Amino acid sequence: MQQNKPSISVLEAIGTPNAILHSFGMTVYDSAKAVVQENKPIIIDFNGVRNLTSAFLHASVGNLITLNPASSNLITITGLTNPQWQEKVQDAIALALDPKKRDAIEHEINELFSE
Amino acid sequence: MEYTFSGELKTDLVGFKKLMHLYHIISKYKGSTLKLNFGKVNFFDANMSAILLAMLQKLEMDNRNKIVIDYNQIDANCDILRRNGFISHMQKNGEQVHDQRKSTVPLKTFKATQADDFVTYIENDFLNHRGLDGHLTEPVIGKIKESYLEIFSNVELHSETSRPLYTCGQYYPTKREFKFTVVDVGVGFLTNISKKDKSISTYEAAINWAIQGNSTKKGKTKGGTGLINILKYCRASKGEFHIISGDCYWRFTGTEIEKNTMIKYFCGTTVHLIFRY
Repeated sequence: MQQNKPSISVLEAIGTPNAILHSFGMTVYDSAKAVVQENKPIIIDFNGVRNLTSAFLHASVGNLITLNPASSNLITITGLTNPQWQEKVQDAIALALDPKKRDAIEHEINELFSE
Repeated sequence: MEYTFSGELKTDLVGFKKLMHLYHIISKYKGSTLKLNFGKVNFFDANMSAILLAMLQKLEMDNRNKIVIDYNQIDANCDILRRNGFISHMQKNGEQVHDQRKSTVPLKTFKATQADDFVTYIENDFLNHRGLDGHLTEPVIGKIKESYLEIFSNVELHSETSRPLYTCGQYYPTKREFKFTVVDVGVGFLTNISKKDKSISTYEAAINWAIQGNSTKKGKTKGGTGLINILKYCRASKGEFHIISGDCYWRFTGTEIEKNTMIKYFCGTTVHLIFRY
């Protein structure tokens, strides 16, 4: 089934293996927006990406997730070579679906300084 | 008009205030020739030249001032500023500097469009520097790199300036210290953060807010500023972490947080990281 989904290569979309800028993320968002708005599935492929920031993920995946309630089921992420990136993607999705999740980050820093 | 630096210029509150004093004295002049005298300097942390260059280029552009420096004084008293590329930046000659002693991370400027160049600098010049060799694990290197890339992405998004990001570092082998500084000359933390959260009305509160993993990114989602990972690393390694924005000099000493309010301040945000091992 996955082969039938339209796919966006992040590397090709932004022209660099460094997916670090919000503006790069918006480029991917703009490329995928129409497909997601039509409730069609889409693959976002990170193959070839060397560096990835939350700024990029929030602008791309995060904003796509907020387009409509079904978005999280429409978007398939592939090619995440760094195991920690999966966590970053999940964070971006979680924050998009539930802004209250960011309270966990605040809790984390509070824990850091509580003896 | 001539301004004379004297004594030591270190990566601390006093050093920053010395640079601020310079900035506020000479920012009163417009269309003038201003001479900087380094004849009485006896110590200058190379990484602090990132702030100095940011200030001087701002004064040159905004006030149309011409900055004149006797480079012989620098060679005599603080040649680190030749070895790290400060002089070539001031002379605008594009000369590639080679620090034979390999104790500096070169002074560089990066516009938001230079993402790939910034990544190369962080990977090769900073994190691959001999001063850090063998002292950081691969996961820590990954986290620190990630943090600076987040900082870079925040500059693109929040600083509201076309001016570049300034970076520089210095390694002290005998003291087992490595200092790295990043400066942006944008609007600083408070302007954007207070738009998002009306209860944030001071620079100190804005820095706290930013460190807690919040950011002011556009759109419906929020992310981190990258600062928390650096802070965690410093907490674990007893390193220092300084953030200067507006009138607030925020410093994690390795064990505790200190905050100082300054009377005068420079635009944008400065971040110092001091590794100790």
